[in-house]
Amino acid sequence: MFGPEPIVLSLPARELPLAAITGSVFELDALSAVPLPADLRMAVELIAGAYHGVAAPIRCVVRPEMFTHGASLNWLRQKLGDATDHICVSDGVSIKLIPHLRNHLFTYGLHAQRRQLEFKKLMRRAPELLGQYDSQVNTFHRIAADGLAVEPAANLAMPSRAFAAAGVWYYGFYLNPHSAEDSAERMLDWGDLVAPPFADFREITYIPLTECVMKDGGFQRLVFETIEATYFEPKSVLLLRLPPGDDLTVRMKWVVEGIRAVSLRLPQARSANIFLVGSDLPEDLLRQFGGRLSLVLHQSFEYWRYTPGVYAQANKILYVLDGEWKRPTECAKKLLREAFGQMPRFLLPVRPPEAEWLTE
Amino acid sequence: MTSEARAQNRLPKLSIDVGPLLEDHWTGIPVFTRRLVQALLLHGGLELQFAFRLTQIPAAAVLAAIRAGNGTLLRSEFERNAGKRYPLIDSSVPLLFPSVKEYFKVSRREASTVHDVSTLVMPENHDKENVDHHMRHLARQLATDDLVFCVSDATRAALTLAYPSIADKTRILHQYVDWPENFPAMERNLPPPVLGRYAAVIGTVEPRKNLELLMRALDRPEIRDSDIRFVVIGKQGWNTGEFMETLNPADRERLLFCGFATEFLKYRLLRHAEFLVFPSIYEGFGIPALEAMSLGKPVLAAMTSSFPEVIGDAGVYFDPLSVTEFAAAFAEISDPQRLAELSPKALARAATFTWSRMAEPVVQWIRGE
Repeated sequence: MFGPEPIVLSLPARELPLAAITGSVFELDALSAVPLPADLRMAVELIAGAYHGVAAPIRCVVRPEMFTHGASLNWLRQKLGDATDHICVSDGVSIKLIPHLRNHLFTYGLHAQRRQLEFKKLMRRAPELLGQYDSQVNTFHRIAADGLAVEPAANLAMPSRAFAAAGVWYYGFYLNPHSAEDSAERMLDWGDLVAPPFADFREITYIPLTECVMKDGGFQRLVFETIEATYFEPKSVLLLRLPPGDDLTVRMKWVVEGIRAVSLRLPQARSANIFLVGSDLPEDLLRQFGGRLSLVLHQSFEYWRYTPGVYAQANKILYVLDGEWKRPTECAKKLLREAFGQMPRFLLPVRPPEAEWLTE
Repeated sequence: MTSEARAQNRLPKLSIDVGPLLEDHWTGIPVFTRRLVQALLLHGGLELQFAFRLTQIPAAAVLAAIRAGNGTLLRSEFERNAGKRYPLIDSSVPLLFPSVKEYFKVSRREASTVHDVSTLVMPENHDKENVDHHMRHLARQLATDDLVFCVSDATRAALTLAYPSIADKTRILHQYVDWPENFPAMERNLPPPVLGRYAAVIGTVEPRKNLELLMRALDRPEIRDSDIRFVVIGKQGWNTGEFMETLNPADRERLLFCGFATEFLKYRLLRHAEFLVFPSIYEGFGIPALEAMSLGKPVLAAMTSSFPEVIGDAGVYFDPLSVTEFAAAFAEISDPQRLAELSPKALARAATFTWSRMAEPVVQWIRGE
């Protein structure tokens, strides 16, 4: 994707403690001392890992939009030296272009509904922006502008080694259909750092949830049906990763409320084979599992949080589209086949008419 | 009919939406609108009509508001007469919006003015209502405009980067400074402010104005050991109290917030300042810089957006995210010898921004040039 010339990463200023940086342009290494939100840290590590050595050194720029033209743009050019490519690391709220460089877009954190909405709003309000990127990294964003589909070429950047994993909490699933609070409280009480006995199960289904998916009627239904089926399949285990977020109770409520939104009943019993998990399942745990592994991934899940090795081990990968497009684009199919080492099965779930979850 | 009147009748017509002039206090866009109207009146090449919400407003009412310097009366007159005595605009007359366009395809030829695109490129620094106000219909505004006026090359560059298809129909509309004629005389009759050596600082305490940089730089030796104080001119913004609490008592002494300043107070404070500090991370034009320069004051300015274009060689620049660069630039500009070099440059540069420079692009548009 990139030649030997240095590349530039632009970073979202609102995610950075500006007092901790030395200026608008700095070397990537300086970021190691800067406290960053976990999502951004992971995004930067991914890009740095994928392109370090291929295109080194990597410089970072904050607020490239300040350098619009003339003297200020020349000033930026001088600071960036002989860089030829710019990867805009965007949280979806705004996206940046640097005029004299080849621009590439990398979005992260769009699993959060507010960011997803902001990004879609931005695409509607500035429909010419996306088309100016030479490529996008790990995504297949596509918009319609003037009746034509605009979809920058997709490039894949996967981690070569697993991201550091913290201890994972497991919460036995329980749903009180009348109270999200009670459901969440009980599950929190049952939280345990000890993993369930995975060796006892023949099949493991792993669904990393996001805030977005728990507000998507079609996906809610899919999760509900998977839970329902797993209750009565003692040889299967279902692991639902809680959506990323700061407050554990809130994250748990997103899940419970999403499931309750499907107006059907589940057993009101603590499940022995359905667990909510507090963070990404560690790769070594997934790799050690001897049974069949099924992954159910929503489009808002950042699949690059795992190395290709995890996907290679999966017996089945179901990829659920967010409904923006009726079928996967060729770009999406190519990118995901490359990422997973196999073509996933695509699903566009039937969404109830009220599921206008991505409208303003 | 006199020959002058006949000649007047042959002038091409232009309708200006003077909505911003109906605000009580004129700063920012209303002042820009006033200057545009006055520039076009001085030019005399167009017959001006005035409108608000697609309703004509008599020229006499608009001119009275300009003389008064606020829009209170104009608004109450509009509310009293709209729907009764004020007619619809003439849709055959080109229509110019000095800011955000609120009606589309009403006139056969429409133009609007884009001041800056910070709501697009840094929405996190604005509240949601402001972002929506500027962005909700921007794509439609640009698509339906015959011409898009940008208040600076910086704004044009940023706008056409996001909307490249409009590049060919943009023109620059630079502002100018017009202090009231009586200010110098009023000023001469007053003793100088007892503030010692000070730099004027423009901006409220809000993220885009970047006063936090100045605060963080106060303990740098270049600034700590200087005898220059900072007088902050502008409304107290989002977090002024919190901002001050983070300062130690000595630093608090160095910073003086004068709050909202009348035009004359601003004039007076700039007139007696050593230089202006303008650390904003983004501006569409940055009229306070030109105001200071018109009084011979150089600018310690962030290297961003429109500043190099407006300030030129009458300023010393710094990376707006670098405390180190800010402190070094401060040391340079506070040297009396450097100030003496920069002051005439400031005057000369400011003098190039004139009413005719502002009027000409509009007249050219109407004449089809």
